Amino acid sequence: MSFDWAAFFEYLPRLIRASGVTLQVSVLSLVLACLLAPALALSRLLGPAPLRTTVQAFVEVIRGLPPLVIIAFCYFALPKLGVVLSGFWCGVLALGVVGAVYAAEIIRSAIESLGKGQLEAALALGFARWRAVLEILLPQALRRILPPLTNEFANLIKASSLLSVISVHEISQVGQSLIFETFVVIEILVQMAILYLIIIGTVTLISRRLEKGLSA
Amino acid sequence: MTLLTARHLVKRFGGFTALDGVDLDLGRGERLVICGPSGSGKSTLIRCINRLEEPDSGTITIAGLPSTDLQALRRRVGMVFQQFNLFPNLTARENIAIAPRKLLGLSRAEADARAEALLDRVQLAGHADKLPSGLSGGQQQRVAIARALAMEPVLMLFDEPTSALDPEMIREVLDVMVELGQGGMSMIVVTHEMGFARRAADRIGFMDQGRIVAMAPPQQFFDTPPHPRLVRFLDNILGH
Repeated sequence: MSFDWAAFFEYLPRLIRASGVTLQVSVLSLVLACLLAPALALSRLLGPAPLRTTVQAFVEVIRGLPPLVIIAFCYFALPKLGVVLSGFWCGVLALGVVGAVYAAEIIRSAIESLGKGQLEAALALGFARWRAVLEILLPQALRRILPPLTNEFANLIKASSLLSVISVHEISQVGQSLIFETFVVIEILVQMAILYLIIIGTVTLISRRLEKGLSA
Repeated sequence: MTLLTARHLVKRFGGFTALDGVDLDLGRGERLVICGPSGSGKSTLIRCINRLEEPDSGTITIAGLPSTDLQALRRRVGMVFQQFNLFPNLTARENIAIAPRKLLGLSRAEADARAEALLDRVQLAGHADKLPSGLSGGQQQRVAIARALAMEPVLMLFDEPTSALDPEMIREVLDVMVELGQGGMSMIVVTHEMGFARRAADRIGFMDQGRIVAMAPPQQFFDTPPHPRLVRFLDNILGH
C-alpha cells in the first residue's frame, strides 16, 4: 500500500479549515471552563452549606456522565426546555461545563492539599476566610493546579471530536465525511492526527512556559 | 490593668472536653506561661482567645478590641504556631509585609520598611529575600514572630513555638521572645520550656484535663508547687 501524496494535499485545506473550528470550540469552551471553574471551586470551599451541596451534586453528576451524553443533552434536550443553540454553541457549552467541573476539582483539591496551617496562619493575621483563600492559598495552589489543568485542557480538545455527532464541522466530522466521500482512509487519518497533535502540542508548550514563569 | 478576661470557657470536640470551665485574667504587659500534659487544653485555650476555635460557652474580652468582629480582633492578637506556617511561596520580607499591605492598606514601600525593621529586631537582617525553604527552623520561627508583630498586636499568643525545633535552635527563638516580653508585650506562651518560664514569665499556669489547676509566679511554682498533679508533672519534665 502506498501513501497517496496527491490525495493528502488535495484534502488538506478542508481539514485545516476544520481544525479552525476545533480550535474555536476548544478555546471558547476553555474560556467558559476558566470562568466557571474558580466559581465552582470557591463555592465548594467557601459557600454556605446549601450552595456547597448543590455545587457538589452538580459536579458529581457531570463527572459521572460521558461527555457524549452531555453533548447530546445540550443539543436534543435543551431546545425542549426553550434553549435553542446551534451545534457549535452546544459544543462550547457542553465541553465548557465538563472542563469546568474537572478543573474545579483540580483547584479545590490543590487548595485543600496545602493543609490547615496555611489557612490558620492567614486567619490569625486577620484575613477574612475568602480573602485568605484568594490572596494567600490560591497563589500557592497555582503551581500545583497548572500541570493537571493542562492535561484537562488537552482532554477537552480531544473531546471536541465528539461534536461530530451533532454535525459541528470540526476535524473529526470533516475527516469522517471525507473518508466516506473519497475512500481515502490513511492519508486523511494521518492529517487528522497531525492537526490534533499540533493543537494539543501548542497548548502543552504554552502551559510549560507558564509553569516555568510561575516557578521562576 | 487587665488586658484579657476569660470566664467559664468550655470547648468540646465530640465527646472530648478540651476546656472545662477555664477562667483567666491577663494584665497589660504580663507574660504568662501555660504548661501541662498533652491533651490538657493548653492549645485549645489560646486558640479560643483568637477564635481559631469558637468556645461552646463562656466569654472572652480583650480590652479595646471588639469581640464580634473576628477579623478586627485577630489583627491585634498575634499568633505563633508550632509549625511556623510561613507562606512558602513568599520571601521572608513578603511573609511579614503581606498582612500590613493587604489588611492595613500600607503601601509596598511602607510595608517592606516595616518588614525590614522587624527582621532586624529578630536578628535576621540580610535574610529578607530568602524563601522559608532557605531558612532554618529557628530562623523560620523568628520570621513567623516578626510576621505576627507586623500587625502591631496588643497581645501575642505562642502555641508551643519551640516544639518543632532542633535543640540548638530553641535558644535563638526563646531569646527573641524574652526580649519581646522585656519590651512590654503582653504574651501567653504555651510551652514545655521551663527554663524560659523561669526566666521570662510573670506567672505560670498549669493545666490538667481542661482546667487551670495551678497558677503562680515562677519561684513559687517551682519551689512549692501548688498542686499534687503539678509535682508529678515537674518531676517528669525536669527529670528529677
